[in-house]
Amino acid sequence: MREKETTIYLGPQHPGVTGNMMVKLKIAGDTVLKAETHVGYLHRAFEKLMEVRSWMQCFPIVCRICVPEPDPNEENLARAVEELEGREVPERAKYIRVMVLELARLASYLLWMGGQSGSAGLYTMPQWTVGDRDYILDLFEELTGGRVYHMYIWPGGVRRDLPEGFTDRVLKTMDYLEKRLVDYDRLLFNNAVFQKRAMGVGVIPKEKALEWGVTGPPLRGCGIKHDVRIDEPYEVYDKLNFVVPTYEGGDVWARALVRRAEFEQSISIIRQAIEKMPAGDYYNKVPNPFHWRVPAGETYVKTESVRGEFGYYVVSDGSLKPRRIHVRGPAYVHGVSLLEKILVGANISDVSFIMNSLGVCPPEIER
Amino acid sequence: MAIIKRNKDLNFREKIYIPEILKGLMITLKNMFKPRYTMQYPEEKFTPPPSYRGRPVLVKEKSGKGRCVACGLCSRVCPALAIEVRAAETDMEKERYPEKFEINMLRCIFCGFCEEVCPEEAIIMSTDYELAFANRDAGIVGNDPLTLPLASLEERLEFLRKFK
Ligand code: SF4
Ligand code: SF4
Repeated sequence: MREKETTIYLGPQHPGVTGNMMVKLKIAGDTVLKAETHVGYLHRAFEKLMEVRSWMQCFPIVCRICVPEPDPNEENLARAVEELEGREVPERAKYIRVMVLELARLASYLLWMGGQSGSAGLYTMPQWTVGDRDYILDLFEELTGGRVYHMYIWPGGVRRDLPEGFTDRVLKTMDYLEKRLVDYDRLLFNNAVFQKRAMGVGVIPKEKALEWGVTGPPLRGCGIKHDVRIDEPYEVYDKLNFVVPTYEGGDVWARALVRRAEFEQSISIIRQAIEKMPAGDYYNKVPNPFHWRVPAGETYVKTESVRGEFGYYVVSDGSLKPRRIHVRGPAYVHGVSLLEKILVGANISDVSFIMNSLGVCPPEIER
Repeated sequence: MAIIKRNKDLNFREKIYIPEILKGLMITLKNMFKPRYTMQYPEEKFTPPPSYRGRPVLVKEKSGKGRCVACGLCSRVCPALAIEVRAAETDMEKERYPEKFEINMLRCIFCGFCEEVCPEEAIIMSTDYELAFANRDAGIVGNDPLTLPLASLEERLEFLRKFK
C-alpha cells in the first residue's frame, strides 16, 4: 500500500539541537521524502552591529556567535586584526591561546557526545557529559571570569595571565577526562544500540563532500584529511605533535569515531602546550581603544572549530570601526544546504540524530 | 582505542534482555554511592572566584563617598550601551560626582570593559550572580543600589591590582 504523504514541521523549538531552527519535512510513513530547512528565528544582526561598534567593542559580540565554543570566533577576529596591523603576539600568549582553544574544543565535544546520545535515546550520557563539562567551565571561570562567554583572546595576546597553579588544575582535569573516556566508551561508543543506530545513517558521499563545502569532522569522517590546524597552522600548532584522525564511511558512526579520536588528541595537545609554554609577556598592548584605528586592508583568516572551518573576512577602511566583518560558519553549510540533501530517505526518528552528528548550531547559522 | 564493533544482531543472551537490564541496574546502584555533581542551589550558595565577572557595581570609599568622578568613559566604552552617566559638580576635593548613574541590566553583557577603562577603579565587576528581577523597570539600576561599600569588594580590587 502506498502511504499518504504528509508535511510536518520539526521546530522552531527544535527537539534535537540547541537553539531555534525549523525543518519542514515531507514524509510518507516514516521516510523523509523532502527536507527544507527554515532558519531566521535567531537572527541577531551581529555582522551589521559590528559595523557601528569600535574594534574593541566587537570582541564581546563575536563570542556570542557560537554558544558551545566561543573561542574560535575571538581567535579569528583577533588574528585578523593582528594581520591587518602587523602586530606581534608574544610567544606565551600563543601557547595560552592554543590551550584555551583546545579546552573549548573539549567542552564542546562533551556537549556533542551528550547531544548525540540523547538524540539516540540514551539519556544517561548527557547527564554525565554536561557534569564533566562543568569542570572545564570552572577552569574557564577562574581564568577568564566567564563560564560561557570568555572574551579572553584579544588582539595582541590574551586578556590576563594564567593564575597561580592554574596549569596544575588543567592537567588534573585532563587526567580526569581521560579516565572518564573509558566510561564514555562503555556507555556510548561500544553500545550496541548506538552502533546500530549510527552505522550507515546520514551518509555523505565522499566524492560530493568537497564539492558541497563540508569541513571538519564530517569531512574527516569521509576519509578526507583536512584540518586547518595542519594545513595552514596558526598560533603554535606547527610546534605541537598531533595526528588528524580520519575514518571511512561518511556516516554518523564515522563522524562519531573522528570526534572520539580527536578528544584524545585535544587532551594531548593541551598537555604539550602546557609543557612547552614559555615564561614572559602575555599581552602586547593595543593603543587606546577610543582612538584605535586599524590600517585599511582586508584579510581572511580561518580556524578549525569543533564543527568545521570557521572563517572571518575582515575589511577595514582605516577608521575607528570595521567596514565589514563577514563570518563563514561551518554550521551554515552543514545545517542548511547539506542537511536538505542527506535527510532525503532518512527515517524520521533519525533527523535530529543526523543534525547532531553534523553539529548543526542555529546561533551560528544566523549570527 | 578501545572500541569494539558490536555485532548488529543480538545473540540469545542479549535478546532475552534480562541479564542486560540487571547489568544496567548494577551501574545505577553503583552510581548512587558516587560523589554528586549537583549543588543544592538556593540552600547551598556558590562562591565564585574573584576573577568572576558578575554584576557591575560602584565602589564607595570608607568615608562614605563614591569614587566615581563621572568622566563618562565607561558609558562610552560599553558595547551594549547600558550605562548612562550625568555629571554634577561640588566644592569637595573630587570636584565631580555622578548625579545620575544608571546601568540597564537588561542590556549589560558582563564584558567588564567598564571596569577596564575606569581611571578611578570606581566601577568594578562584583561576584553577584543573582540577577533576576520581576519587571523591566527593576532591571534599570540607579545610583543607590549600585553603590556598594569598599569592604565587600576587597577581593576583586586585590585581584585587579594583580592582574589588570
Ligand atoms: S565609573 Fe569610572 S569610568 Fe565610569 S564615569 Fe565613573 S569614573 Fe568614569
Ligand atoms: S560590563 Fe560591559 S556591558 Fe555591562 S555595563 Fe560594563 S561595559 Fe557595559
